[in-house]
Amino acid sequence: MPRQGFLGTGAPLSADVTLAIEIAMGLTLVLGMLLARRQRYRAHAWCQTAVVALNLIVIAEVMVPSFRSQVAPKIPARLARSYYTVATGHAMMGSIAELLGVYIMLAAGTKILPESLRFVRYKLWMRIALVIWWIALLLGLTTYARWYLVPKHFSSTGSRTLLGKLDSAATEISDVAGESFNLGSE
Amino acid sequence: MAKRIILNLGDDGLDRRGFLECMAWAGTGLLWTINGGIAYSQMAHRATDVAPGALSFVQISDSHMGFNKEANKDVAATLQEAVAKINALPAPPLFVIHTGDISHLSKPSEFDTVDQILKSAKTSQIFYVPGEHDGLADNGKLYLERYGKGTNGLGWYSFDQKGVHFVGLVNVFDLKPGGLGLLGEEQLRWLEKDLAAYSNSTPIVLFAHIPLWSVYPQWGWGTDDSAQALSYVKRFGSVTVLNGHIHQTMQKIEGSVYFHTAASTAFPQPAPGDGPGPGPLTVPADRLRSLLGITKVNYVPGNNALAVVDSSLASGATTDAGLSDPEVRISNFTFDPASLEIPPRTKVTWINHDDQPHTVTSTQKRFDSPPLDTDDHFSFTFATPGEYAYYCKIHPRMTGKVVVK
Repeated sequence: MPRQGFLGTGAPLSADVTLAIEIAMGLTLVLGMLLARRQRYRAHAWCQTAVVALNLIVIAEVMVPSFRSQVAPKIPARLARSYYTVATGHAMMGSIAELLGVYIMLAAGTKILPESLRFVRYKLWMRIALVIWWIALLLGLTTYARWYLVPKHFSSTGSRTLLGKLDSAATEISDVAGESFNLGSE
Repeated sequence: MAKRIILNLGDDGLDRRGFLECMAWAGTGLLWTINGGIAYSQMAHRATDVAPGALSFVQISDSHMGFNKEANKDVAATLQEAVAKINALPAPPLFVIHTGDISHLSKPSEFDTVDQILKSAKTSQIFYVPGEHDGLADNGKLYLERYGKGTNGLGWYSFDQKGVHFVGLVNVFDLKPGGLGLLGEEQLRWLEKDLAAYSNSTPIVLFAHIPLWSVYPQWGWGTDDSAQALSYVKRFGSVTVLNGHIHQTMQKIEGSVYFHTAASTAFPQPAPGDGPGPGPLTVPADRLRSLLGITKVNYVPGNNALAVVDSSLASGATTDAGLSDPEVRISNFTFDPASLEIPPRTKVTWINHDDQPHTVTSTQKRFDSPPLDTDDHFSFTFATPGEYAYYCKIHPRMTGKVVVK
Protein backbone atom coordinates (compact mmCIF):
# COMPACT_ATOMS: atom_id res chain seq x y z
CA MET A 1 0.00 0.00 0.00
CA PRO A 2 1.49 3.38 -1.00
CA ARG A 3 2.36 5.85 1.78
CA GLN A 4 0.23 8.96 2.27
CA GLY A 5 1.60 12.32 1.21
CA PHE A 6 2.68 15.11 3.55
CA LEU A 7 0.61 17.95 2.09
CA GLY A 8 -2.67 16.88 3.68
CA THR A 9 -4.42 16.16 0.38
CA GLY A 10 -5.54 12.77 -0.89
CA ALA A 11 -2.26 12.26 -2.75
CA PRO A 12 0.28 9.51 -2.13
CA LEU A 13 3.76 10.46 -0.92
CA SER A 14 5.27 10.05 -4.39
CA ALA A 15 2.90 12.67 -5.84
CA ASP A 16 3.64 15.19 -3.05
CA VAL A 17 7.40 14.70 -3.38
CA THR A 18 7.15 15.07 -7.16
CA LEU A 19 5.10 18.26 -6.80
CA ALA A 20 7.65 19.77 -4.42
CA ILE A 21 10.57 18.78 -6.67
CA GLU A 22 8.88 20.15 -9.80
CA ILE A 23 8.10 23.51 -8.19
CA ALA A 24 11.69 23.72 -6.92
CA MET A 25 13.01 22.87 -10.38
CA GLY A 26 10.82 25.50 -12.01
CA LEU A 27 12.14 28.14 -9.63
CA THR A 28 15.71 26.92 -10.15
CA LEU A 29 15.34 27.38 -13.92
CA VAL A 30 14.28 30.97 -13.33
CA LEU A 31 17.31 31.42 -11.07
CA GLY A 32 19.46 29.97 -13.86
CA MET A 33 17.97 32.46 -16.30
CA LEU A 34 18.93 35.31 -13.94
CA LEU A 35 22.48 33.93 -13.81
CA ALA A 36 22.67 34.16 -17.60
CA ARG A 37 21.43 37.75 -17.53
CA ARG A 38 24.33 38.52 -15.15
CA GLN A 39 26.65 36.82 -17.66
CA ARG A 40 27.60 34.03 -15.27
CA TYR A 41 27.30 31.49 -18.08
CA ARG A 42 29.16 28.55 -16.48
CA ALA A 43 26.94 28.66 -13.37
CA HIS A 44 23.90 29.07 -15.67
CA ALA A 45 24.90 25.98 -17.68
CA TRP A 46 25.37 23.82 -14.57
CA CYS A 47 22.11 25.02 -13.04
CA GLN A 48 19.92 24.35 -16.10
CA THR A 49 21.67 21.06 -16.94
CA ALA A 50 21.13 19.73 -13.42
CA VAL A 51 17.40 20.53 -13.61
CA VAL A 52 16.94 18.92 -17.02
CA ALA A 53 18.80 15.77 -15.89
CA LEU A 54 16.92 15.52 -12.59
CA ASN A 55 13.62 16.01 -14.38
CA LEU A 56 14.46 13.14 -16.71
CA ILE A 57 14.78 10.87 -13.66
CA VAL A 58 11.49 12.09 -12.15
CA ILE A 59 9.70 11.55 -15.48
CA ALA A 60 11.05 8.02 -15.87
CA GLU A 61 10.58 6.94 -12.26
CA VAL A 62 7.28 8.58 -11.28
CA MET A 63 5.40 10.29 -14.09
CA VAL A 64 5.55 7.72 -16.89
CA PRO A 65 4.47 4.75 -14.70
CA SER A 66 1.66 6.82 -13.20
CA PHE A 67 0.48 8.02 -16.63
CA ARG A 68 0.60 4.50 -18.06
CA SER A 69 -1.49 2.98 -15.27
CA GLN A 70 -3.99 5.75 -14.55
CA VAL A 71 -4.40 7.83 -17.70
CA ALA A 72 -3.26 5.99 -20.84
CA PRO A 73 -5.91 3.22 -20.63
CA LYS A 74 -8.65 5.87 -20.59
CA ILE A 75 -7.59 7.86 -23.63
CA PRO A 76 -8.78 8.67 -26.20
CA ALA A 77 -12.18 7.29 -25.08
CA ARG A 78 -12.52 9.51 -21.99
CA LEU A 79 -10.36 12.44 -22.92
CA ALA A 80 -13.47 14.57 -22.52
CA ARG A 81 -13.26 14.20 -18.74
CA SER A 82 -11.22 17.03 -17.30
CA TYR A 83 -9.00 14.94 -15.06
CA TYR A 84 -7.74 13.03 -18.09
CA THR A 85 -7.58 16.16 -20.26
CA VAL A 86 -5.32 18.10 -17.90
CA ALA A 87 -3.10 15.09 -17.23
CA THR A 88 -2.70 14.46 -20.96
CA GLY A 89 -2.04 18.15 -21.64
CA HIS A 90 0.57 18.17 -18.87
CA ALA A 91 2.19 15.04 -20.30
CA MET A 92 2.36 16.53 -23.80
CA MET A 93 3.75 19.91 -22.74
CA GLY A 94 6.12 18.27 -20.26
CA SER A 95 7.49 15.92 -22.93
CA ILE A 96 8.06 18.81 -25.33
CA ALA A 97 9.77 20.88 -22.61
CA GLU A 98 12.04 18.02 -21.53
CA LEU A 99 12.99 17.07 -25.09
CA LEU A 100 13.76 20.68 -25.90
CA GLY A 101 15.78 20.96 -22.67
CA VAL A 102 17.83 17.88 -23.53
CA TYR A 103 18.40 19.19 -27.06
CA ILE A 104 19.60 22.58 -25.77
CA MET A 105 21.81 20.83 -23.23
CA LEU A 106 23.42 18.73 -25.98
CA ALA A 107 23.62 21.49 -28.58
CA ALA A 108 24.92 24.26 -26.34
CA GLY A 109 26.96 22.32 -23.80
CA THR A 110 28.52 19.44 -25.76
CA LYS A 111 29.86 18.60 -29.20
CA ILE A 112 27.88 15.38 -29.48
CA LEU A 113 25.55 16.74 -32.15
CA PRO A 114 26.94 17.49 -35.63
CA GLU A 115 27.22 21.21 -36.32
CA SER A 116 24.43 21.17 -38.85
CA LEU A 117 22.00 20.05 -36.12
CA ARG A 118 22.99 22.70 -33.62
CA PHE A 119 20.99 25.92 -33.38
CA VAL A 120 22.56 29.32 -33.57
CA ARG A 121 20.02 31.53 -31.81
CA TYR A 122 20.67 30.24 -28.29
CA LYS A 123 18.72 32.91 -26.43
CA LEU A 124 15.50 32.49 -28.37
CA TRP A 125 15.38 28.71 -28.00
CA MET A 126 16.28 28.84 -24.31
CA ARG A 127 13.50 31.32 -23.66
CA ILE A 128 11.00 29.24 -25.61
CA ALA A 129 12.04 26.17 -23.58
CA LEU A 130 11.61 28.06 -20.31
CA VAL A 131 8.12 29.25 -21.27
CA ILE A 132 7.02 25.74 -22.32
CA TRP A 133 8.51 24.35 -19.10
CA TRP A 134 6.42 26.72 -17.01
CA ILE A 135 3.27 25.97 -18.97
CA ALA A 136 3.90 22.28 -18.30
CA LEU A 137 4.44 23.07 -14.63
CA LEU A 138 1.17 25.02 -14.46
CA LEU A 139 -0.66 22.12 -16.06
CA GLY A 140 1.07 19.83 -13.56
CA LEU A 141 -0.26 21.93 -10.69
CA THR A 142 -3.72 21.85 -12.24
CA THR A 143 -3.46 18.07 -12.61
CA TYR A 144 -2.47 17.71 -8.96
CA ALA A 145 -5.36 19.91 -7.86
CA ARG A 146 -7.84 18.05 -10.06
CA TRP A 147 -6.75 14.58 -8.93
CA TYR A 148 -5.92 14.97 -5.28
CA LEU A 149 -7.66 17.94 -3.68
CA VAL A 150 -10.48 16.90 -1.40
CA PRO A 151 -13.69 18.88 -1.99
CA LYS A 152 -13.83 22.03 0.14
CA HIS A 153 -16.93 21.10 2.12
CA PHE A 154 -15.15 17.96 3.26
CA SER A 155 -11.52 19.01 3.49
CA SER A 156 -9.58 19.15 6.73
CA THR A 157 -7.87 22.32 7.93
CA GLY A 158 -4.67 21.00 6.37
CA SER A 159 -6.30 20.70 2.98
CA ARG A 160 -7.77 24.22 3.21
CA THR A 161 -4.32 25.58 4.05
CA LEU A 162 -2.93 23.78 1.05
CA LEU A 163 -5.65 25.20 -1.20
CA GLY A 164 -4.54 28.66 -0.15
CA LYS A 165 -0.92 27.78 -0.75
CA LEU A 166 -1.68 26.42 -4.20
CA ASP A 167 -3.68 29.54 -5.10
CA SER A 168 -0.73 31.72 -4.08
CA ALA A 169 1.70 29.48 -5.93
CA ALA A 170 -0.47 29.64 -9.06
CA THR A 171 -0.46 33.45 -8.87
CA GLU A 172 3.33 33.53 -8.52
CA ILE A 173 3.72 31.10 -11.39
CA SER A 174 1.49 33.23 -13.62
CA ASP A 175 3.63 36.25 -12.79
CA VAL A 176 6.83 34.40 -13.63
CA ALA A 177 5.36 33.01 -16.83
CA GLY A 178 4.34 36.53 -17.82
CA GLU A 179 7.88 37.71 -17.18
CA SER A 180 9.23 34.94 -19.36
CA PHE A 181 6.94 35.92 -22.22
CA ASN A 182 8.12 39.52 -21.91
CA LEU A 183 11.75 38.40 -22.01
CA GLY A 184 11.06 36.26 -25.06
CA SER A 185 9.65 39.18 -26.99
CA GLU A 186 12.43 41.62 -26.24
CA MET B 1 -21.63 25.35 -16.27
CA ALA B 2 -24.12 25.40 -13.41
CA LYS B 3 -23.48 21.80 -12.50
CA ARG B 4 -19.78 22.55 -12.13
CA ILE B 5 -20.46 25.12 -9.42
CA ILE B 6 -20.42 23.30 -6.11
CA LEU B 7 -19.67 26.00 -3.58
CA ASN B 8 -19.98 29.61 -4.63
CA LEU B 9 -18.20 31.87 -2.17
CA GLY B 10 -18.25 35.04 -4.26
CA ASP B 11 -20.62 36.86 -6.57
CA ASP B 12 -19.01 35.54 -9.70
CA GLY B 13 -20.99 32.31 -9.82
CA LEU B 14 -17.86 30.22 -9.67
CA ASP B 15 -16.30 28.22 -6.89
CA ARG B 16 -12.71 27.08 -6.89
CA ARG B 17 -13.42 23.65 -8.29
CA GLY B 18 -15.60 25.08 -11.00
CA PHE B 19 -12.87 27.58 -11.82
CA LEU B 20 -10.24 24.84 -12.03
CA GLU B 21 -12.43 22.81 -14.35
CA CYS B 22 -13.06 25.80 -16.59
CA MET B 23 -9.35 26.63 -16.55
CA ALA B 24 -8.57 23.07 -17.49
CA TRP B 25 -10.83 23.31 -20.51
CA ALA B 26 -9.52 26.73 -21.51
CA GLY B 27 -5.94 25.57 -21.15
CA THR B 28 -6.44 22.58 -23.38
CA GLY B 29 -8.35 24.03 -26.28
CA LEU B 30 -5.52 23.07 -28.60
CA LEU B 31 -5.88 19.46 -27.60
CA TRP B 32 -9.51 19.57 -28.61
CA THR B 33 -8.67 21.07 -31.94
CA ILE B 34 -6.21 18.26 -32.57
CA ASN B 35 -8.58 15.62 -31.30
CA GLY B 36 -11.75 17.01 -32.77
CA GLY B 37 -14.30 14.35 -33.48
CA ILE B 38 -13.79 12.35 -30.33
CA ALA B 39 -17.27 12.02 -28.89
CA TYR B 40 -18.02 12.64 -25.24
CA SER B 41 -17.94 9.22 -23.66
CA GLN B 42 -19.86 8.05 -20.64
CA MET B 43 -18.62 5.08 -18.69
CA ALA B 44 -19.98 1.86 -20.10
CA HIS B 45 -21.79 0.83 -16.97
CA ARG B 46 -23.08 4.16 -15.86
CA ALA B 47 -26.66 3.76 -14.75
CA THR B 48 -28.84 6.11 -16.75
CA ASP B 49 -32.51 6.53 -17.29
CA VAL B 50 -33.92 5.79 -20.69
CA ALA B 51 -33.94 9.02 -22.66
CA PRO B 52 -36.45 9.64 -25.45
CA GLY B 53 -35.22 7.98 -28.62
CA ALA B 54 -32.80 5.81 -26.71
CA LEU B 55 -32.28 2.14 -27.32
CA SER B 56 -33.07 -0.14 -24.40
CA PHE B 57 -32.79 -3.89 -24.42
CA VAL B 58 -32.52 -6.70 -21.89
CA GLN B 59 -30.16 -9.64 -21.67
CA ILE B 60 -31.22 -12.88 -20.01
CA SER B 61 -29.09 -15.98 -19.84
CA ASP B 62 -28.78 -19.60 -18.78
CA SER B 63 -32.44 -20.53 -18.26
CA HIS B 64 -31.45 -24.23 -18.13
CA MET B 65 -35.06 -25.29 -18.60
CA GLY B 66 -35.39 -28.90 -17.46
CA PHE B 67 -32.89 -28.59 -14.61
CA ASN B 68 -34.54 -29.80 -11.38
CA LYS B 69 -31.78 -30.41 -8.84
CA GLU B 70 -31.29 -28.98 -5.34
CA ALA B 71 -29.82 -25.66 -6.54
CA ASN B 72 -33.21 -24.72 -8.03
CA LYS B 73 -36.03 -27.21 -8.38
CA ASP B 74 -38.26 -24.83 -10.30
CA VAL B 75 -36.30 -23.03 -13.03
CA ALA B 76 -39.54 -22.29 -14.90
CA ALA B 77 -40.73 -20.20 -11.94
CA THR B 78 -37.53 -18.14 -11.78
CA LEU B 79 -37.64 -17.59 -15.56
CA GLN B 80 -41.21 -16.35 -15.16
CA GLU B 81 -40.00 -13.98 -12.43
CA ALA B 82 -37.33 -12.70 -14.82
CA VAL B 83 -40.03 -12.05 -17.42
CA ALA B 84 -42.14 -10.28 -14.80
CA LYS B 85 -39.15 -8.11 -14.03
CA ILE B 86 -38.78 -7.24 -17.72
CA ASN B 87 -42.48 -6.42 -17.93
CA ALA B 88 -42.21 -4.16 -14.89
CA LEU B 89 -39.51 -1.96 -16.44
CA PRO B 90 -40.61 1.69 -16.82
CA ALA B 91 -40.35 1.37 -20.61
CA PRO B 92 -40.55 -1.96 -22.45
CA PRO B 93 -37.22 -3.02 -23.96
CA LEU B 94 -36.99 -2.92 -27.74
CA PHE B 95 -35.83 -6.53 -27.70
CA VAL B 96 -34.42 -9.25 -25.48
CA ILE B 97 -31.16 -11.12 -26.03
CA HIS B 98 -30.86 -14.64 -24.61
CA THR B 99 -27.19 -15.59 -24.33
CA GLY B 100 -27.62 -19.35 -24.34
CA ASP B 101 -28.28 -22.48 -22.33
CA ILE B 102 -31.95 -21.97 -23.02
CA SER B 103 -32.49 -25.63 -22.20
CA HIS B 104 -30.63 -27.99 -19.88
CA LEU B 105 -30.60 -31.10 -22.08
CA SER B 106 -31.70 -29.65 -25.46
CA LYS B 107 -35.02 -31.51 -25.39
CA PRO B 108 -37.89 -30.17 -27.53
CA SER B 109 -40.14 -29.93 -24.46
CA GLU B 110 -37.57 -27.73 -22.69
CA PHE B 111 -37.36 -25.33 -25.64
CA ASP B 112 -41.18 -25.34 -25.82
CA THR B 113 -41.47 -24.31 -22.17
CA VAL B 114 -39.01 -21.43 -22.57
CA ASP B 115 -40.78 -20.23 -25.73
CA GLN B 116 -44.09 -20.34 -23.89
CA ILE B 117 -42.78 -18.32 -20.93
CA LEU B 118 -40.96 -15.76 -23.08
CA LYS B 119 -44.11 -15.17 -25.14
CA SER B 120 -45.44 -13.15 -22.22
CA ALA B 121 -42.43 -10.78 -22.26
CA LYS B 122 -43.44 -7.28 -23.30
CA THR B 123 -40.95 -6.84 -26.13
CA SER B 124 -41.07 -7.03 -29.89
CA GLN B 125 -38.35 -9.56 -30.54
CA ILE B 126 -36.03 -12.06 -28.86
CA PHE B 127 -32.57 -12.83 -30.23
CA TYR B 128 -30.74 -16.01 -29.23
CA VAL B 129 -27.28 -17.49 -29.30
CA PRO B 130 -26.79 -21.10 -28.23
CA GLY B 131 -25.12 -22.40 -25.09
CA GLU B 132 -23.37 -25.75 -24.95
CA HIS B 133 -26.43 -27.26 -23.23
CA ASP B 134 -28.55 -26.34 -26.27
CA GLY B 135 -26.56 -28.76 -28.40
CA LEU B 136 -25.98 -31.63 -25.99
CA ALA B 137 -28.28 -34.11 -27.74
CA ASP B 138 -27.75 -33.26 -31.41
CA ASN B 139 -24.86 -30.79 -31.64
CA GLY B 140 -27.25 -27.90 -32.11
CA LYS B 141 -29.53 -29.27 -34.87
CA LEU B 142 -32.77 -28.64 -33.00
CA TYR B 143 -31.55 -25.25 -31.79
CA LEU B 144 -30.76 -24.16 -35.35
CA GLU B 145 -34.14 -25.38 -36.61
CA ARG B 146 -35.92 -23.30 -33.98
CA TYR B 147 -33.78 -20.21 -33.62
CA GLY B 148 -31.29 -20.27 -36.49
CA LYS B 149 -33.41 -19.08 -39.43
CA GLY B 150 -31.55 -16.49 -41.48
CA THR B 151 -28.30 -16.98 -39.60
CA ASN B 152 -24.91 -17.98 -40.93
CA GLY B 153 -22.93 -21.17 -40.35
CA LEU B 154 -23.77 -22.63 -36.93
CA GLY B 155 -26.04 -19.74 -36.02
CA TRP B 156 -24.01 -16.53 -36.00
CA TYR B 157 -25.56 -13.33 -37.31
CA SER B 158 -25.62 -9.56 -36.97
CA PHE B 159 -28.19 -6.77 -37.03
CA ASP B 160 -28.43 -3.01 -36.52
CA GLN B 161 -30.65 -1.10 -34.11
CA LYS B 162 -30.66 2.69 -33.71
CA GLY B 163 -27.10 3.09 -34.90
CA VAL B 164 -25.72 0.23 -32.81
CA HIS B 165 -24.31 -2.85 -34.56
CA PHE B 166 -25.09 -6.14 -32.79
CA VAL B 167 -23.23 -9.37 -33.50
CA GLY B 168 -24.39 -12.75 -32.14
CA LEU B 169 -21.51 -15.24 -32.02
CA VAL B 170 -21.47 -19.00 -31.46
CA ASN B 171 -18.64 -20.48 -29.41
CA VAL B 172 -20.13 -23.66 -27.97
CA PHE B 173 -20.26 -26.33 -30.67
CA ASP B 174 -16.61 -27.29 -30.83
CA LEU B 175 -15.37 -26.92 -27.26
CA LYS B 176 -11.63 -27.17 -26.64
CA PRO B 177 -10.23 -29.56 -24.02
CA GLY B 178 -11.10 -28.19 -20.59
CA GLY B 179 -14.31 -26.67 -21.93
CA LEU B 180 -12.93 -23.50 -23.49
CA GLY B 181 -15.18 -22.04 -26.18
CA LEU B 182 -14.14 -21.81 -29.81
CA LEU B 183 -15.35 -19.49 -32.55
CA GLY B 184 -13.50 -21.17 -35.40
CA GLU B 185 -11.88 -19.91 -38.58
CA GLU B 186 -15.06 -19.68 -40.65
CA GLN B 187 -16.88 -17.54 -38.08
CA LEU B 188 -13.83 -15.33 -37.52
CA ARG B 189 -13.53 -14.68 -41.26
CA TRP B 190 -17.22 -13.79 -41.37
CA LEU B 191 -16.84 -11.48 -38.35
CA GLU B 192 -13.94 -9.59 -39.89
CA LYS B 193 -15.93 -9.08 -43.09
CA ASP B 194 -19.10 -8.13 -41.20
CA LEU B 195 -17.37 -5.41 -39.17
CA ALA B 196 -15.39 -4.01 -42.11
CA ALA B 197 -18.38 -2.01 -43.33
CA TYR B 198 -18.76 -0.01 -40.10
CA SER B 199 -17.01 3.19 -39.09
CA ASN B 200 -14.89 3.39 -35.94
CA SER B 201 -17.55 5.49 -34.23
CA THR B 202 -20.29 2.85 -34.51
CA PRO B 203 -21.07 1.33 -31.09
CA ILE B 204 -20.59 -2.43 -31.31
CA VAL B 205 -22.25 -5.09 -29.15
CA LEU B 206 -20.89 -8.64 -29.33
CA PHE B 207 -22.84 -11.34 -27.56
CA ALA B 208 -22.06 -15.02 -27.15
CA HIS B 209 -22.59 -17.70 -24.53
CA ILE B 210 -19.09 -18.43 -23.22
CA PRO B 211 -17.15 -15.32 -22.14
CA LEU B 212 -14.93 -13.81 -24.82
CA TRP B 213 -12.41 -12.95 -22.10
CA SER B 214 -10.45 -15.26 -19.87
CA VAL B 215 -12.55 -15.32 -16.72
CA TYR B 216 -11.07 -18.59 -15.45
CA PRO B 217 -9.70 -20.80 -18.24
CA GLN B 218 -9.02 -23.67 -15.79
CA TRP B 219 -12.80 -24.12 -15.63
CA GLY B 220 -13.34 -23.50 -19.33
CA TRP B 221 -14.55 -19.96 -18.63
CA GLY B 222 -13.06 -18.33 -21.68
CA THR B 223 -12.86 -18.69 -25.46
CA ASP B 224 -9.74 -20.11 -27.03
CA ASP B 225 -9.63 -17.86 -30.10
CA SER B 226 -11.36 -14.78 -28.70
CA ALA B 227 -8.20 -12.67 -29.04
CA GLN B 228 -8.55 -12.75 -32.81
CA ALA B 229 -12.20 -11.73 -32.65
CA LEU B 230 -11.33 -8.87 -30.28
CA SER B 231 -8.56 -7.68 -32.59
CA TYR B 232 -11.27 -6.92 -35.17
CA VAL B 233 -13.11 -4.59 -32.77
CA LYS B 234 -10.03 -2.81 -31.42
CA ARG B 235 -10.51 0.15 -33.77
CA PHE B 236 -14.05 0.91 -32.53
CA GLY B 237 -14.56 3.58 -29.89
CA SER B 238 -17.23 1.67 -27.95
CA VAL B 239 -17.48 -2.09 -27.74
CA THR B 240 -19.72 -3.98 -25.31
CA VAL B 241 -19.28 -7.73 -24.95
CA LEU B 242 -22.17 -9.59 -23.30
CA ASN B 243 -21.85 -13.21 -22.21
CA GLY B 244 -23.46 -15.78 -19.93
CA HIS B 245 -22.25 -19.29 -19.01
CA ILE B 246 -20.67 -18.53 -15.64
CA HIS B 247 -24.01 -17.72 -13.91
CA GLN B 248 -22.74 -14.60 -12.14
CA THR B 249 -22.18 -10.99 -13.02
CA MET B 250 -18.62 -9.97 -13.68
CA GLN B 251 -17.14 -7.12 -15.63
CA LYS B 252 -13.84 -5.97 -17.00
CA ILE B 253 -12.70 -3.03 -19.10
CA GLU B 254 -9.88 -3.19 -21.62
CA GLY B 255 -9.40 0.08 -23.46
CA SER B 256 -12.70 0.80 -25.16
CA VAL B 257 -14.01 -2.75 -24.70
CA TYR B 258 -16.39 -3.42 -21.82
CA PHE B 259 -16.88 -7.09 -20.95
CA HIS B 260 -19.87 -8.18 -18.94
CA THR B 261 -21.25 -11.56 -17.94
CA ALA B 262 -24.88 -11.92 -16.86
CA ALA B 263 -26.43 -13.82 -13.99
CA SER B 264 -28.45 -16.92 -14.78
CA THR B 265 -32.22 -17.13 -14.36
CA ALA B 266 -31.84 -20.72 -13.07
CA PHE B 267 -29.05 -21.25 -10.53
CA PRO B 268 -25.76 -19.68 -9.42
CA GLN B 269 -22.27 -21.11 -9.85
CA PRO B 270 -19.27 -20.68 -7.54
CA ALA B 271 -16.91 -17.75 -7.86
CA PRO B 272 -13.97 -18.51 -10.18
CA GLY B 273 -11.57 -20.92 -8.47
CA ASP B 274 -13.74 -21.30 -5.40
CA GLY B 275 -14.15 -25.06 -4.97
CA PRO B 276 -13.27 -28.07 -7.04
CA GLY B 277 -14.95 -26.91 -10.23
CA PRO B 278 -17.92 -25.24 -11.90
CA GLY B 279 -21.47 -26.50 -11.42
CA PRO B 280 -24.80 -25.68 -9.81
CA LEU B 281 -24.29 -24.01 -6.45
CA THR B 282 -26.86 -24.64 -3.73
CA VAL B 283 -27.49 -21.60 -1.56
CA PRO B 284 -30.10 -20.99 1.16
CA ALA B 285 -33.53 -20.58 -0.43
CA ASP B 286 -33.84 -16.98 0.79
CA ARG B 287 -30.60 -16.05 -1.00
CA LEU B 288 -31.25 -17.77 -4.34
CA ARG B 289 -33.09 -14.92 -6.02
CA SER B 290 -30.43 -12.39 -5.09
CA LEU B 291 -27.98 -14.42 -7.22
CA LEU B 292 -30.28 -14.73 -10.26
CA GLY B 293 -31.29 -11.86 -12.48
CA ILE B 294 -31.46 -9.98 -15.74
CA THR B 295 -29.29 -7.32 -17.37
CA LYS B 296 -30.71 -4.11 -18.82
CA VAL B 297 -28.71 -2.21 -21.44
CA ASN B 298 -29.40 1.37 -22.52
CA TYR B 299 -27.90 3.35 -25.36
CA VAL B 300 -28.51 7.06 -25.84
CA PRO B 301 -27.72 8.22 -29.40
CA GLY B 302 -24.80 10.65 -29.27
CA ASN B 303 -23.24 8.98 -26.28
CA ASN B 304 -20.37 6.74 -27.14
CA ALA B 305 -20.95 3.91 -24.73
CA LEU B 306 -23.77 1.72 -23.52
CA ALA B 307 -25.02 1.62 -19.94
CA VAL B 308 -25.19 -1.92 -18.57
CA VAL B 309 -27.22 -2.43 -15.40
CA ASP B 310 -27.73 -5.72 -13.57
CA SER B 311 -30.87 -6.40 -11.63
CA SER B 312 -31.36 -9.40 -9.36
CA LEU B 313 -34.68 -11.20 -9.07
CA ALA B 314 -34.71 -10.30 -5.38
CA SER B 315 -34.60 -6.55 -5.97
CA GLY B 316 -37.68 -4.39 -6.47
CA ALA B 317 -39.45 -4.82 -9.77
CA THR B 318 -38.53 -1.49 -11.25
CA THR B 319 -35.25 -0.80 -9.55
CA ASP B 320 -31.74 -1.14 -10.86
CA ALA B 321 -29.11 -3.69 -10.14
CA GLY B 322 -27.70 -4.81 -6.90
CA LEU B 323 -30.18 -3.29 -4.50
CA SER B 324 -30.33 -6.56 -2.63
CA ASP B 325 -26.56 -6.63 -2.50
CA PRO B 326 -24.68 -4.24 -0.24
CA GLU B 327 -23.34 -1.14 -1.86
CA VAL B 328 -20.40 1.03 -0.81
CA ARG B 329 -20.59 4.65 -1.89
CA ILE B 330 -17.35 6.37 -2.81
CA SER B 331 -17.99 9.98 -2.01
CA ASN B 332 -15.94 12.93 -0.74
CA PHE B 333 -12.80 10.79 -0.81
CA THR B 334 -14.26 8.21 1.59
CA PHE B 335 -15.73 4.73 1.39
CA ASP B 336 -19.19 4.75 2.93
CA PRO B 337 -19.64 2.60 4.94
CA ALA B 338 -15.95 2.27 5.72
CA SER B 339 -16.58 -1.07 7.39
CA LEU B 340 -19.11 -3.56 6.09
CA GLU B 341 -20.16 -6.90 7.60
CA ILE B 342 -21.65 -9.49 5.24
CA PRO B 343 -22.34 -13.22 5.03
CA PRO B 344 -20.22 -15.40 2.69
CA ARG B 345 -21.01 -15.40 -1.05
CA THR B 346 -22.25 -11.85 -0.97
CA LYS B 347 -21.51 -9.50 -3.82
CA VAL B 348 -20.46 -6.01 -2.78
CA THR B 349 -20.67 -3.17 -5.27
CA TRP B 350 -18.69 0.06 -4.99
CA ILE B 351 -20.02 3.09 -6.87
CA ASN B 352 -17.88 6.19 -7.36
CA HIS B 353 -19.90 9.37 -6.80
CA ASP B 354 -16.84 11.65 -6.76
CA ASP B 355 -15.72 13.53 -9.82
CA GLN B 356 -12.21 12.15 -9.36
CA PRO B 357 -11.23 8.61 -10.31
CA HIS B 358 -10.72 6.09 -7.50
CA THR B 359 -9.74 2.44 -7.28
CA VAL B 360 -10.89 -0.31 -4.94
CA THR B 361 -7.76 -2.30 -4.23
CA SER B 362 -7.34 -5.14 -1.75
CA THR B 363 -4.34 -4.84 0.56
CA GLN B 364 -4.06 -8.65 0.31
CA LYS B 365 -4.22 -8.48 -3.52
CA ARG B 366 -7.57 -10.33 -3.64
CA PHE B 367 -9.20 -7.77 -5.94
CA ASP B 368 -8.21 -4.61 -7.76
CA SER B 369 -10.56 -2.42 -9.74
CA PRO B 370 -9.47 -0.29 -12.68
CA PRO B 371 -9.68 3.47 -12.01
CA LEU B 372 -13.41 4.15 -11.63
CA ASP B 373 -14.69 7.35 -13.18
CA THR B 374 -17.75 9.19 -11.90
CA ASP B 375 -20.72 6.80 -11.55
CA ASP B 376 -18.64 3.77 -12.50
CA HIS B 377 -19.09 0.73 -10.35
CA PHE B 378 -17.04 -2.30 -9.39
CA SER B 379 -18.31 -5.52 -7.82
CA PHE B 380 -16.62 -8.38 -6.02
CA THR B 381 -18.17 -11.49 -4.53
CA PHE B 382 -16.71 -12.45 -1.17
CA ALA B 383 -16.80 -16.24 -1.06
CA THR B 384 -15.05 -17.13 2.19
CA PRO B 385 -15.09 -15.70 5.73
CA GLY B 386 -12.33 -13.29 6.71
CA GLU B 387 -11.44 -9.62 6.96
CA TYR B 388 -10.69 -7.90 3.68
CA ALA B 389 -9.02 -4.50 3.94
CA TYR B 390 -8.89 -2.30 0.87
CA TYR B 391 -7.81 1.19 -0.19
CA CYS B 392 -7.67 3.55 -3.18
CA LYS B 393 -4.36 3.34 -5.05
CA ILE B 394 -4.66 6.93 -6.25
CA HIS B 395 -5.63 8.33 -2.84
CA PRO B 396 -4.12 5.98 -0.21
CA ARG B 397 -5.72 8.02 2.57
CA MET B 398 -9.00 6.33 1.58
CA THR B 399 -9.37 2.95 3.30
CA GLY B 400 -12.16 0.52 4.09
CA LYS B 401 -12.78 -3.08 5.04
CA VAL B 402 -15.27 -5.87 4.43
CA VAL B 403 -15.78 -8.43 7.18
CA VAL B 404 -17.21 -11.73 5.92
CA LYS B 405 -18.78 -13.78 8.76
